[in-house]
Amino acid sequence: MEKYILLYGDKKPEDNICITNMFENTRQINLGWTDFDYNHNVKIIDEEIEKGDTQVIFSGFEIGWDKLVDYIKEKNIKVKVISNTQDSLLYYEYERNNFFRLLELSKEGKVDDMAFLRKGEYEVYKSLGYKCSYLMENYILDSNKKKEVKKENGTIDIGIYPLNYTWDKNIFNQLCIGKMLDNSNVNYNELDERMTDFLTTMNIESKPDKIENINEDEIINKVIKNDINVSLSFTEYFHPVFFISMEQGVPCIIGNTSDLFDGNEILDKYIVTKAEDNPIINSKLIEDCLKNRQVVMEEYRKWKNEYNKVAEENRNKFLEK
Amino acid sequence: MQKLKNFVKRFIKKDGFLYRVIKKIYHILSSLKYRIVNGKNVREQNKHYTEQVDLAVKKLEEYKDKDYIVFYNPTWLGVANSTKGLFKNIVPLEQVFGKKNINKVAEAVVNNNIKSVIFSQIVDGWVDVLKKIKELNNNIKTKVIWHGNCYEFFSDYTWNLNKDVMNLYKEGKIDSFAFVRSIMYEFYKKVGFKSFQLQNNVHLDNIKRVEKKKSDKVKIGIYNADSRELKNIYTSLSAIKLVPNSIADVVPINESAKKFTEILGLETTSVDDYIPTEELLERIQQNEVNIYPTFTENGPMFPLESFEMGVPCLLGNNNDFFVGTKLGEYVILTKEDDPEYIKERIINCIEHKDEIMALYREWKKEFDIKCSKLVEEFIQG
Repeated sequence: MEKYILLYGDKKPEDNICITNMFENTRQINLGWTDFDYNHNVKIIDEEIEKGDTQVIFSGFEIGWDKLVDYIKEKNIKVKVISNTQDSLLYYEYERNNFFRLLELSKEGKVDDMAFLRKGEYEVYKSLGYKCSYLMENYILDSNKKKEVKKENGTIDIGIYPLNYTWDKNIFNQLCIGKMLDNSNVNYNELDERMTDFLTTMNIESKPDKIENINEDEIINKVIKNDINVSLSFTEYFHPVFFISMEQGVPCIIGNTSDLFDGNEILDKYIVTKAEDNPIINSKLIEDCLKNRQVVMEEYRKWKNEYNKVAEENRNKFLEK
Repeated sequence: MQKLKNFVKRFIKKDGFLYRVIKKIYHILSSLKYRIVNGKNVREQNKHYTEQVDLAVKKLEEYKDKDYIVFYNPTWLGVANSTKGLFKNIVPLEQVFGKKNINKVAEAVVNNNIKSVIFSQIVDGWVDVLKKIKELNNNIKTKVIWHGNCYEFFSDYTWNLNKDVMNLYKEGKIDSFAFVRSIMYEFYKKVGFKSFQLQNNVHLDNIKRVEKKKSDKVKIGIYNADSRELKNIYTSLSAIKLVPNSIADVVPINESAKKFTEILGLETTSVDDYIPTEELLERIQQNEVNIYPTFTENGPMFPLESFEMGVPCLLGNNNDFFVGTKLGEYVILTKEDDPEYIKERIINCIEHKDEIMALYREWKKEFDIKCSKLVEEFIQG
């Protein structure tokens, strides 16, 4: 397999949980257009090139990184980019500008491959003639990190851990589930005091539970406290909370925002909501998922064993391209 | 000023007492500055709002002794169309500023012996009108139609307004609420509020039907989608690009979306600005299908308007329309952020267009009956 170094920034730490789990050779770089950032990043890239790495992969395409692409291409080294946005997020100028710049560089032949984490996105840009790949997201739990999970105690503890206080995280509709599901308690990542104010005003049983640093260990410690976790964003390409929760043995429902369970009837039925903003449908989904917890988790383990193999093959193909 | 605001924000609790006091003082000073700088405009605006109040007072006279009237803001197009589609006794009323205007409206309600007053959403000044009506005659029922869903509590304005109306309910100044989506009705009922359910509806017999021009292209429409992130315009454009031989009609289209169509190499027949509803409804009749894959909604009017114009419309799974029906299986999207999936659904919709339109016509007959019943229950409740 061709050698590589994967470079990632700190703008989307939640993405880094999956990406650093998927790729072994990774290093963090700065984002920004200052000379300081550029020089810092170039130093890292030079160090890696000296080791004989034959390709540089960027996780996402952040501000200032286009200059790095120019620098690397001058050395005749292959550049690949894993897109960390999608069309639904292009409303934002930052996302749009960086993505449009990435497309320009791809057209100019400076980016050798763009990987998309959703099939639909991949189909769009493939149809337009861009050199691109479909990369399957993944997360594999280190067995040393396996922890004891909450035992049933009569109250349904629901974990809601959005990692950003942004529109796409669908925060308030998720919190509403606590009202619609009897005998439940919501443990949540308090990203803004509005969340607590809302839960108190609506008289929803709940307990704030701040995630101070977005990293694997901290999320593991949160998700194991619950009977079920809920991650119902409107749009996604990585699903770190879902994977961490499921790998720990705690079911987690997600929005219909992935290609993970295409063709798997059981997981699609009990894990994936078809209406992210509907707390009635989602509280029923939680009830059904918990009633069938054993079936769901057994099916997940079977599915995941197979998925790990397919995803690894897919990743290797991307690296060898 | 922004730096000072951010500095102060670091030391005070958001939504706390001190935060609200500072916010209020800031608001008063900003208003004062605005009045000084824009004195002439303010006077003209006030004149306009006063004229609106006078027109509303006249309109109220037409509804003397009626069981109910509904106030709506004619400049909020979605809410205005929703209100017009549901109720007969409607009174356009914009913002109400100043004690004199507040009293005029409240007194007109009381003097015309109107039994219950419905506020279709809450506009600036309406809370004071509502309080004044109750002060003058506590027997008059006051009701509020809340058109948003909980997603909107992300906004400071909407959350604070929601808290205000919840407090008014607790103080007995609002008698009940209505919601245009079943989940909101169920949620607020469970929170402990007297709630009713409504469903937005449209009646468009007055719109001219135009003949569809023959074309080799598959014309697909995206409308009113450039204003908010939730409207998901970029995914919609990508999806249309994947449909063979397609052309997109996008109204309005902004500069960024236009640039994206260029990147996609997507042919469009778009307009940069909003166009009047009547004109838009005539325009969409030239399309094969319209798409509205938004992320969250309540009772979106556009899909119904599209169907009424004879053009099927794909819509997100985020409202009560068509749920649990064969028609819903054809037109409700459950993966709104996936252009490939939306493309497949567009093609499927075009293939079954006649069947879909026949199913819609059947559905609409029952829906009209259901809507009238819900309105009646709310008025009587």
